[in-house]
Amino acid sequence: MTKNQVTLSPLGHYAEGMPWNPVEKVIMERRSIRGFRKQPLPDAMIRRILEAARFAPSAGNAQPWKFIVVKSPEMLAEMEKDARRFIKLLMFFLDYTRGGTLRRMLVRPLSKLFIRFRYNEFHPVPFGLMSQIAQDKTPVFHGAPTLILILEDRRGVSAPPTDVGVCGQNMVLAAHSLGAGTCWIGLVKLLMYYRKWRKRFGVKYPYQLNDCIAVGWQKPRADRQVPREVQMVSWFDKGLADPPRVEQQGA
Amino acid sequence: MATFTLRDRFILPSYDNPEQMRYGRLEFDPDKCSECGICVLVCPGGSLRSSRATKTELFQGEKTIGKCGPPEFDTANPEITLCVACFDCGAACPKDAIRIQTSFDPGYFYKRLTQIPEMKYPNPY
Repeated sequence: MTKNQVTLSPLGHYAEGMPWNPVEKVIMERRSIRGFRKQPLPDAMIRRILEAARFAPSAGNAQPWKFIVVKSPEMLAEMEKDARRFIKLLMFFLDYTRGGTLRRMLVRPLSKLFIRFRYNEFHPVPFGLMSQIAQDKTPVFHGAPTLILILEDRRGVSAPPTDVGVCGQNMVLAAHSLGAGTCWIGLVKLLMYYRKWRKRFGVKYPYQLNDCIAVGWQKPRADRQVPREVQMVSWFDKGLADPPRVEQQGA
Repeated sequence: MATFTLRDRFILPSYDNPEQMRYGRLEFDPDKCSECGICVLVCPGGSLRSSRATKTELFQGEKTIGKCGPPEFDTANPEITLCVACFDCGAACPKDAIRIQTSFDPGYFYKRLTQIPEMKYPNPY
């Protein structure tokens, strides 16, 4: 198999070992894009991306979502500034990987307490990222010209977070198939600690903001296939008492 | 979580201790590298820098992509690179000059990518 195949298979047809069809190609080559051109996408294109979100599947057809498109450069700059300010405050109390010995000793117990109770939010990956943001080494929203906020309606059926994820993935794939670039940004939830942003975006009871998607033209075009780790998959394809056959997916 | 002992529950991983956490490490091929600086710009955590430009400078337009010098890790301690081996830099690199040397392993408390060390391209079955 070559890394960048030119020929594509037709949609709605399968033969063993055939090349990717256009949908699979978009899925395989999608990368999170963190460098954007200043010029935003045309409005019609953003509407087309939102149309893909509107037609996403959801549990019980509850459609537990609401979209907000932020295009105003002043607003984006203020969001960036406020998120950065909050992260700086947080890291002043929690970043035990920096500073002198005394500071580390004082900060470490509090930090460990936070890590114990919010271990997903303070996973080493976002922790390191927030530490870098607090030192002005990397931006929060990657200078994206457009943000699409997905508000989750908590009154939805079964598991609304899953529905929101499915809907966002629809949008991301549609955007990449049109040549744009996207990146999921979870740090936007820090803005919800500010009353003014809650009010401005109308985030109150049924709604909750956890994620947003940065959309724009890719500046270095980075959509490409990259290798991934191999998965071990259990196949139950014999009798009830037989153990599963473990197969390496991606060999 | 069920297999954690009581003692385990009181121990937390230290993010600045190389014995408890292994950060990612990249290999830059100096022969292929054209020193363009794209990898520095796209690094999600800002863990890379080049000898003539940092991510902030490239991002704010003070420096442009082009002659930026070879990339390196922006870190005080060579064991703590803040790299999570996400390979964004490798996807963006126009010259295929970046390889992952060691993967990111956040210790026993967090989920690890437990599979075999070498990774595979998607396979059309």
